[in-house]
Amino acid sequence: MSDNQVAQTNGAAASPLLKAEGLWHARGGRMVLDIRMIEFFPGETLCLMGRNGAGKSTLVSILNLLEKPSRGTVLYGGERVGPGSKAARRRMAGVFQQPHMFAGTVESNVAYGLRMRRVPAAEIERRVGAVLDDLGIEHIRNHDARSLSGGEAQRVALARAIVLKPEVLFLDEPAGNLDRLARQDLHRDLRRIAVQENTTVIYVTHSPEEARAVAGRIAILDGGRIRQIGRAREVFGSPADDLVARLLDRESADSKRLGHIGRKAV
Amino acid sequence: MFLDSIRQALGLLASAEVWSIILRSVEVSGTAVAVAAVIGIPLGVLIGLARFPGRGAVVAVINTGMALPPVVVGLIVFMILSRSGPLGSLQLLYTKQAMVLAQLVLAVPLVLGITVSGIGGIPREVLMQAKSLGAGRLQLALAALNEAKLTLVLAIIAGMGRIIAEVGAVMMVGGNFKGETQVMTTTILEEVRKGEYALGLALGIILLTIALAANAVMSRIQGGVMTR
Amino acid sequence: MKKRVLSRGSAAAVPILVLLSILASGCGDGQAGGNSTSDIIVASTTSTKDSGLFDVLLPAFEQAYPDYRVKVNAVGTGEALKLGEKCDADVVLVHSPEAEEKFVTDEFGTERREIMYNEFVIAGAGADPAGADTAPDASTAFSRIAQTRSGFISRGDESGTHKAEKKLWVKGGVLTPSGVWYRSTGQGMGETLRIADETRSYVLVDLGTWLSMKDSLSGGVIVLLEGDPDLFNQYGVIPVNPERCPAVNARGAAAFADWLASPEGQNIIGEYGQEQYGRALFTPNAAQ
Repeated sequence: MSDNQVAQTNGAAASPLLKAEGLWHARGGRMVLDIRMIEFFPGETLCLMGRNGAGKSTLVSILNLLEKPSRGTVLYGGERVGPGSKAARRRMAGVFQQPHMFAGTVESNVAYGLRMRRVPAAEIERRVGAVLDDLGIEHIRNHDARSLSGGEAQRVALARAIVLKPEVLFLDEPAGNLDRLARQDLHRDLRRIAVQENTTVIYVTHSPEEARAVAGRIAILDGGRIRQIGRAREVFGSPADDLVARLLDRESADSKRLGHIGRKAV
Repeated sequence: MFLDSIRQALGLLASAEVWSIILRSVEVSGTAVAVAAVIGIPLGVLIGLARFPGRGAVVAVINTGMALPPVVVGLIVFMILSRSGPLGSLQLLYTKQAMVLAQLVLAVPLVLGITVSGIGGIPREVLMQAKSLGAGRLQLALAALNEAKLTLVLAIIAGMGRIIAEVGAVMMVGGNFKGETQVMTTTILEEVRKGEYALGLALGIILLTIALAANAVMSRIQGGVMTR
Repeated sequence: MKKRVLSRGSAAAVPILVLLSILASGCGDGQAGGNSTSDIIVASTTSTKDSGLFDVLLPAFEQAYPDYRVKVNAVGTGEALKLGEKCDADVVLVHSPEAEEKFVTDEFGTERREIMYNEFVIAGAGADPAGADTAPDASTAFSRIAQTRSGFISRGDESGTHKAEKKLWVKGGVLTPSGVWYRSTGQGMGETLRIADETRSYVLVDLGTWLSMKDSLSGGVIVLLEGDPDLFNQYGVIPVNPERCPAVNARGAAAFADWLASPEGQNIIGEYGQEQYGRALFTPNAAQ
């Protein structure tokens, strides 16, 4: 199935919000990304899946305009953008696997992006308050952001991003450190917010269970290339090959991970 | 005899002359460090964040500069400010300004080097996170400054510690004129040459106290950086 | 001091001992014990060392007395005498007659013998605003400098040169020179001369330093007055008193002092400088 066909199956009426063409990226002389085309549509949640080193985080970094690809273009709303396009980047926000808190309180962390956008203080106060309430972390508002538990920090990182009401939200393994319950809470919050704000969510995960819970579409990456992309139901229903099937099968994925850990320990 | 000298030294700490020398030391070195911070910190942030060809060479030059021998710097500044030197017409030799200039040359690489390594030590993810939340170029630099602010305090203290204790450069370009360009270290050297140990020791005690205080502050900061 | 350190039961003594042994090994040039009997430690002045005299004097002495090795600790006159006082030198060779006399009267040294003298000259800017050039003698030149408040650079370090300078002020009727025109450096002769050169100021400088440095100066000062007996700078040698300092190399010190006053030593002193500068830097005057 070609990339083009996928776009058509997602409804020809909608035009993509974010699009990358002819992406090719090398790091340390080694190719890490080679994608002919990928598109993201307003309001959809797309899960990026693949083994470690498949190129997921690099793709996110390029799409988030944090990094310039060796070759290729990124289009935002049809316009060519790059790391210098501050206006486009300010319509996106990212939450990464390790939630890096800035020095200061939870409140100042959540307000960070709004301050960067020079939003008036009163409005910052109001929006930060609303988000803290919404995510149930009002009680740690004045805590030192660097002394939070993993779950709390992850929520603050999410709050810090969604308070900006981004059009595109990047989540790079946001549930990596969370237990099962916290993960379910995260998915519930996410679905609600995505629907409310019509946010485009690009969600990197290893877990088939998470993908089932949040994904509208799934893209499987391997060796920097797209192995399969399509509606979640279709990809789960008919994996393109053995690797995709193994990545999407919870048990084999888990056992593969165990095997990996086992090898490391030797 | 040793105890005698110490007793005499403690007595001298009450004298106005000693305090005027101490104040001059603090004034000269403090000015040099302040200017070094104004130059070194922004430049250090720039070099720390930027990736450009030849960056490694620049960092190597800075690191070498951190170990510049004060007498060599003194000699070079002397030659520049000398009547027969390129800036001789300014008549700055044997003034406090000349001393500040020489110590500035010593302090800038230190402040710069510590800033560059401090900024370089910020996890890349932190800066990516700031960028992802919409930080512009200047805002990113400010975020880096904020992340590395303890290192910057460290840079300033280390710079101050280096120059307030050096003697080679200030002696050469300041001339150690009594009541004009005499600072703690040059006085110590002069007094020891005369065989008068008490005043040297008194100023030595002050210098040691300053060094101890600076060290205490630095280790507290370093402790803070580690437990963060 | 060593006895105190070795007293039993003090935990602090161990690191101090280690430190001492490091210092001792560092000072001994790898030889055990630091001061073997063959070493003679001479405390002298930087200006003497800077003149280069020791470079011809010491090899000749060591040839005459192969059992001895001479080490020169070149410091200020004040510190040189202090080193003798603290038993850290075997013999002192300095140029401050009154301080030397006191050193002997206080029984820090055995006897003082005059060895040689060199000359001071008064140098200053060619423009010579005080007219030192035409003064009949050194003290008059000094009083003119003070009257016209012309810039003067003093060593201010209680060295022999500084003491000679202070005597000239007193003789010229200036009790304590002070004011913006009078600057005290607290540094050595070379540095002080360079400062005078840079600031076009008057300075009292010994002939040896002047001759060896004049070509490296910027031309800011020239010699304005020389030859006045008031400008003669007498050197004396004093062995450190072995009764106060049993550890000193008394025999070596005496041999060195005797040799300096001997015809051979005197001859070498009188010739030094002839070749390089066309004139002797020191005039030998030991009583024979």
